Amino acid sequence: MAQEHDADVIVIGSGTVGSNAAYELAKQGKSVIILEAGVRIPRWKLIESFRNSPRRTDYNGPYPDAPWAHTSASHAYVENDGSYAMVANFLKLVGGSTWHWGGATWRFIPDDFKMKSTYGVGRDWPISYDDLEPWYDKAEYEIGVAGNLGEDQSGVRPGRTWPPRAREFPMPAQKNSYMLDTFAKAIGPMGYEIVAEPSAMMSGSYRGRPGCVGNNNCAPVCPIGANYSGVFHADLAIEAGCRLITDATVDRIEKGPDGKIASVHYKSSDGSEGRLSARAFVLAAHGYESPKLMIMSDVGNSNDMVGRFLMPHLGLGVDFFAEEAVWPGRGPIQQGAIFSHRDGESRARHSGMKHAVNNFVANENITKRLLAQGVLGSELDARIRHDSARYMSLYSMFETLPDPANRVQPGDRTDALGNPNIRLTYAVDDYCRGAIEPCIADFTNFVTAMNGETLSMSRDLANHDHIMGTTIMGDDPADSVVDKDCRSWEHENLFVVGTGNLPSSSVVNPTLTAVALGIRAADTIAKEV
Amino acid sequence: MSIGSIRREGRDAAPAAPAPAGLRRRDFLLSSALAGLAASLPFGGTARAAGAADFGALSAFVTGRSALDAALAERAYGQLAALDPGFDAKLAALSAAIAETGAESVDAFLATGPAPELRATMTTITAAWYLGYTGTPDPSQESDNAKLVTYREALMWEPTADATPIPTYSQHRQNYWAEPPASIATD
Ligand SMILES: Cc1cc2nc3c(=O)[nH]c(=O)nc-3n(C[C@H](O)[C@H](O)[C@H](O)COP(=O)(O)OP(=O)(O)OC[C@H]3O[C@@H](n4cnc5c(N)ncnc54)[C@H](O)[C@@H]3O)c2cc1C
Ligand code: SF4
Repeated sequence: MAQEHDADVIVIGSGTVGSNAAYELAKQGKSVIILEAGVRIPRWKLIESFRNSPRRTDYNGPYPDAPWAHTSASHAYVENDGSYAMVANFLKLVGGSTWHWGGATWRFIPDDFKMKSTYGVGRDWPISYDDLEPWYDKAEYEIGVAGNLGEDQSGVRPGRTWPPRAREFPMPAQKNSYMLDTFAKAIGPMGYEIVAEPSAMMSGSYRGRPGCVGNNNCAPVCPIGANYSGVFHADLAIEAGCRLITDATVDRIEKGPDGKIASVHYKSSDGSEGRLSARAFVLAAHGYESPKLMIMSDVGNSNDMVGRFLMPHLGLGVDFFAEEAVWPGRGPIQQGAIFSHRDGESRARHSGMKHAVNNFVANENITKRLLAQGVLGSELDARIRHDSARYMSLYSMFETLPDPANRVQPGDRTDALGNPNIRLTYAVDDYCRGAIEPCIADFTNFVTAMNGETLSMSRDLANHDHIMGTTIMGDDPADSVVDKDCRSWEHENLFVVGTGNLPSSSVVNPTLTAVALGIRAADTIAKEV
Repeated sequence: MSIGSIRREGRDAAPAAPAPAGLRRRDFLLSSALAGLAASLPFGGTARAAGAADFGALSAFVTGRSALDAALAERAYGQLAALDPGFDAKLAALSAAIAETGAESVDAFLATGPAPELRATMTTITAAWYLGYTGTPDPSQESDNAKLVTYREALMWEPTADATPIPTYSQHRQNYWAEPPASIATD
C-alpha cells in the first residue's frame, strides 16, 4: 500500500547548501519542506543592528543568538575540550551562515581530490575533480561567481587556467583595487603572482542582485546584497514551491522499521512540536550541527565516524604600514590571493597555503592605535589619514589533515529546547605547523616589497571559520559517513550535505564545493523519489 | 576571515603628514569664550543636562571642532560618567587646567605640556567622539562594556572622507576602487 508522506523530500537547514538542494528538487518537480531553526530577518534590520553596535569587528554582532537557536556567539554553546580552541563561526537564520561570509568561491584543484595518492597524506576523495566539474559549473551559475579565466590557481602551472573549466565564469572578476595592483607590481619581481579571487560579490547585476559598489561591509553584512548569501536560494526555493518552516529546530531523525529514515521531529521556541515524514531527507544543518544531530539521533553512526576528521583552515596574519599611500578600504573587503605554496612537492611535508589580501577601511584600527599612543589634537586627524592610507594586512589559510581524534560531538549542556550544545576537540599537528616558517618567509617578503614597517606578524595559528570532514565522504563504509553521492551508508534515503563532506580541506574556502555536492545530491534524489 | 590586529607596540613615531589637499579643513580655533565657558562650569554638579552641555563644550575644544552634536554629547557623557564615578572630577580638572593656561586651541594647550592624567582624560573624550563608542568592545567575549555613541558621525571618518567609504555607506560607483583617490600625489 502506498504510504502517505508530508513531502517528497525534507531539507534540514536553509543555508546555501540546503536551499540550493531544495531549489534543485523543486525545479525537478518534487514537493519539498525546508525546516529552519532560525527566523527570517530582513536585510535592513541587520544593517541597522550593525550600525547600532560598537562591536563592529564582531561578524556575529548583527545576528540573533537565541536561547533556542544558539550561534557561535554563545561561549556556553560552543565548548572546546581539546588543546586548540576551534571556534568557527556560524549563524542561525533563514539563509544561514553565508549572511556574513567573505564571498570567496574557489573551486578545489584536481590534486586536492587525491591527497593520499599524490602526496601520501590525508585521504583521496571517492570522486575526482572531473566528476565534480559540471556541478561546480552549475553551482557557480546558481550563486553567481565573478572570476578570471586564464589564471593558475595552483601556483605551479603558470599560464594555464587551473583548475580546468568547461566554460567562462558567470561574470568577469571585479577590477582590482589600486592597492592590490600596487602590491602586485611590488611583489611581482620576487616571483609572486596575484590571482583574482573568484567572488560572489558581483561585478555587475546578476539574477536580481546589484553589482558591488564598494560599501566595504561584505562581512558582516552587505547592505545591498551584491554579496551572495543563502537567503537568495531560500527565496528561489520558496518561489519554486518549497515550503519553509522557520523556528523549527530538528532534534530527532527517526528511523523506520526498514532501516530507512521515516520522519523528523522538531521543536519551536514557543514549545510546540512537530513531526513530518518524507520519502527522502537532506541534512544540511552546517558542519557542526549536522553531525551533532546524527549522533543525537543515533543515525548513520554505527561505525562511529560521524563528527570525526574535523578539519579547519588554520593560518597566520600580518599587518604593516606600506611606505607609500595605497588606500585600503576602497572596494570589497578582499580581492586577490597568492598561491606560492598551494600545490607541489612541499605538500607531502607540510600544509599548502593561500595568502589573501585584506581590503578593510582601516580608520577604526588606526584611530585606536593612535589614541593608545597618546596622539591628540590636530595631529590626530593628520595621522589617521596618513596611517589609514598605508595600512595593509594579509592572512593565510593552511590546509589541515583528517584525523579521527579531531571531532565534534553533542556536549552535556542544554539549550532552551533541551538540545545539547556543541563540543569540539582539536589538536594542531606538525604537518600544519610545518607551514608556519614558509608562510612567515612570504610575509617578510611582502613587507619588504612595500618598504613596509611591520605592525604584527604572529606565529600563533588562527582559525578561519571553515569546517571540513565532519560528515566525511568516502568509498569505504567502514571509515566514512556518506558515499560519493552524499548518501548515508546506513540509511539509503538520508543524504548529508555540507562542507563536512569534504575529505580534504585544501587551502581554499569550501562552500562552493559543498554547494556543488549539494546540488549533485539533489539531482540523485530527484531520480529516486 | 581575519584582520590582523594592530599591536600597541607597533611603531611609535610616524611622521605627521601635512594636512592633505582636499581634506576638509577644520577650524581649530575655538573662541576663548567657549573655552572660558567650559572652564567656568563646575563639573560634578547634580543636573545631568548641564553636565552634558559642559561636556559638549569641553569635547569641542579637545577635538578641535567648533561645535558637536548636543544629543551625542548627552549620550557620550552619560555613558562615560556611568563607567567612571570620578569622571566629573576629571572633567573639572581638565577645564580648570585649560582655563589656567589660557590656551585657545587644543594644540596650544597640548604645547603647554599637560600632566599625564589630563592627557588621559583628553584621550577618553577624544575616543568617544572619534571611535563613536565608549568602553572597550571585545568581540572575543560574549559581552563587554562598550556602548554606541554614533556610527556615522564618528569623527574618525572625517580625515579620509574623500578617499574611503564609511562602511555600509558607499558614495561611489562600481569599480571606483581601480583608481587611487585624487589626492594620491600628496598622500
Ligand atoms: C565570517 C565568515 C566568513 C566566511 N567566508 C567564507 C568565504 O568567503 N567563502 C566560503 O566558501 N566560505 C566562507 N565561510 C564559511 C561559510 O559561511 C559556510 O561554509 C557556509 O555557510 C556553509 O553553508 P551551509 O548551508 O552548510 O551551512 P549554514 O550556512 O550554516 O546553514 C545551516 C542552516 O541550518 C540551520 N540549522 C542548524 N541546525 C538546525 C536544526 N537542528 N534544525 C533546523 N535547522 C538547523 C541553521 O540555522 C542554518 O540556517 C565563512 C564563514 C564565516 C563565519
Ligand atoms: S563592497 Fe559593498 S556592495 Fe560590495 S559586496 Fe561588499 S558590502 Fe556589498
